[in-house]
Amino acid sequence: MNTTELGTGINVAVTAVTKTYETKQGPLDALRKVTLNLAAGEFVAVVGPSGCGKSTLLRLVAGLDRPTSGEIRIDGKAIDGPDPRHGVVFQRPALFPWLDVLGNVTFGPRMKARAPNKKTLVAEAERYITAVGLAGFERHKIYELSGGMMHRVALARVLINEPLVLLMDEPFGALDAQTRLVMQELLTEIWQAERSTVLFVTHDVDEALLLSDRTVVMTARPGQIKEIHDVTLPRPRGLTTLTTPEFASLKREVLGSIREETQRTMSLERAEVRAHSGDDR
Amino acid sequence: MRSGASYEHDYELRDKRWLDGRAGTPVLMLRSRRGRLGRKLIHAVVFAPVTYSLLSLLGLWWLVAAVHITSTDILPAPALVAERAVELTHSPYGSETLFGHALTSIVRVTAGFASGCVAGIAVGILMRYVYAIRYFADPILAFLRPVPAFAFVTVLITWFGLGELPKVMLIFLAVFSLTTVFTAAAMEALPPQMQDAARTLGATGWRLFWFVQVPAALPDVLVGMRLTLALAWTAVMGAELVAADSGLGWMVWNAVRFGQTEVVFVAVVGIAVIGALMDLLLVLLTQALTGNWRTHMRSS
Repeated sequence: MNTTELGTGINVAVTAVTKTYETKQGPLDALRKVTLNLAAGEFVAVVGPSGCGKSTLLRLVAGLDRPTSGEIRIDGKAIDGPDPRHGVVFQRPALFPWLDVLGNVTFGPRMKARAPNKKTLVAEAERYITAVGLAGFERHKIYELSGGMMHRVALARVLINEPLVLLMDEPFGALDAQTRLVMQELLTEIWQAERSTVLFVTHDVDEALLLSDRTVVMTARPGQIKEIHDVTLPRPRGLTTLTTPEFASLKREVLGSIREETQRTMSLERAEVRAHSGDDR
Repeated sequence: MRSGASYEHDYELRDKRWLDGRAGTPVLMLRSRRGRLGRKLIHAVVFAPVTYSLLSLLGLWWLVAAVHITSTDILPAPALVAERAVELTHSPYGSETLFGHALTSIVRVTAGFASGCVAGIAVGILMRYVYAIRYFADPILAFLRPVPAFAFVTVLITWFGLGELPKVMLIFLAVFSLTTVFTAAAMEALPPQMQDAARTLGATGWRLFWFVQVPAALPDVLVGMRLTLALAWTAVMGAELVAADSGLGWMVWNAVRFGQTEVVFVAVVGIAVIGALMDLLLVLLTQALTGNWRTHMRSS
């Protein structure tokens, strides 16, 4: 699928990015020389063993952390801190419990130097609250919502900023299987309507293949890009897609690849534990 | 025989009724539900846990005084104290009536508490954001904090004279030094994922502070304020010890000097009642500002 022409989103270029953390045991590379380009309007999923630096990568693109070396450009501009047009959906909804649903959704626009007037704001929020299926819940408190509803609010809260890039860090990881499926369909719908560029981190291979145009597999720590799979399954995808032979073979390929890396991670960790107990002696 | 588990369950149910202020037999609860508002209100007061706990305290006091374990000079009976309190509402004790002394103390405590909170919260916030201020203020406050307000009484009077200023200053100091600590700590209460979310949604600078940091810190600050309010009432006793001729604290010291035990009790109960009412105001403020969400900071 040629996505480059479809997008109203913008391209994301990650070039030779390395992120090193200083730990008590010395410097630790979370990411090493990662290069990844997302075309405008493209949906890219990142999978890999736990601790491989997928979330680190997302935080760097979001501007929440700075890379140790290399550079990240969005629409040709080097990123300089977080930007409301680069929306981030976290694993936890991270809603503000002192605000109701409406207050949370209008949060982004209210943070602008010139906040729109209240009437426009509420109308705008209404649109996104309806889009995520929460019409009628505007005045509900956050703690009155279910987990799935909280994630919808988190999504609406990001979408109202009309993000050109959508960065998602295992956004549905904490949800039950049914709710997750509904959220995936909702996300696909929204993505097809808005066509923002999406970088989607997950540990769920089904999810990655169901949603993405390309699925990136990362290596064990230090995180590097191991391989990139084009996901050419026809859209719209749904429950029936999950049972096609194409899906099954793709899934087998990706799972096998992650499995290798998971085993490497585990042996790496075992070696670390050995080295550690050696220090103590 | 009851198993441990079912006993626990039973206890929990009972506990909830207590919290509702509707403890009593189920029969009584049913009746109140059928009754009108006035009856419900009376019911709520009569069966509120606070009524039971205070009545039992009063009962214990009455009992101990009645059996004459101690002399009236050491523990006057509640009736005697009440009688004296009523008398003091119209005939002055020293310079003023009971109400006059109460008002004087309330003004001192409120002035010292309010100024201590404002200054303490301001410095606490600055300590969180400005390293220079943190490094400057932290050691000084560390020395100031463990010193009881009492210790400053004579010094403050020497410096500021006999008026209201040294008394309010004393309460201010007690409140201020603790407020800085819990405010600085409360400013760290914002969960990192909430701060990340706010930043990626476009909150920066003063907006990030005002719309995210402040509400997140509010629950802890309000709890701290309840503690320092009690401390302010402790400090007023010190403030009215020397060079004072009014206030509930002065009443205590003066009555002790002349062996008027029932007046001591009048003043102490007065402090307790006013302190509890002021605390109730803070509880209501907490409820209004942070209502039900304060327990959900981590779960969202």
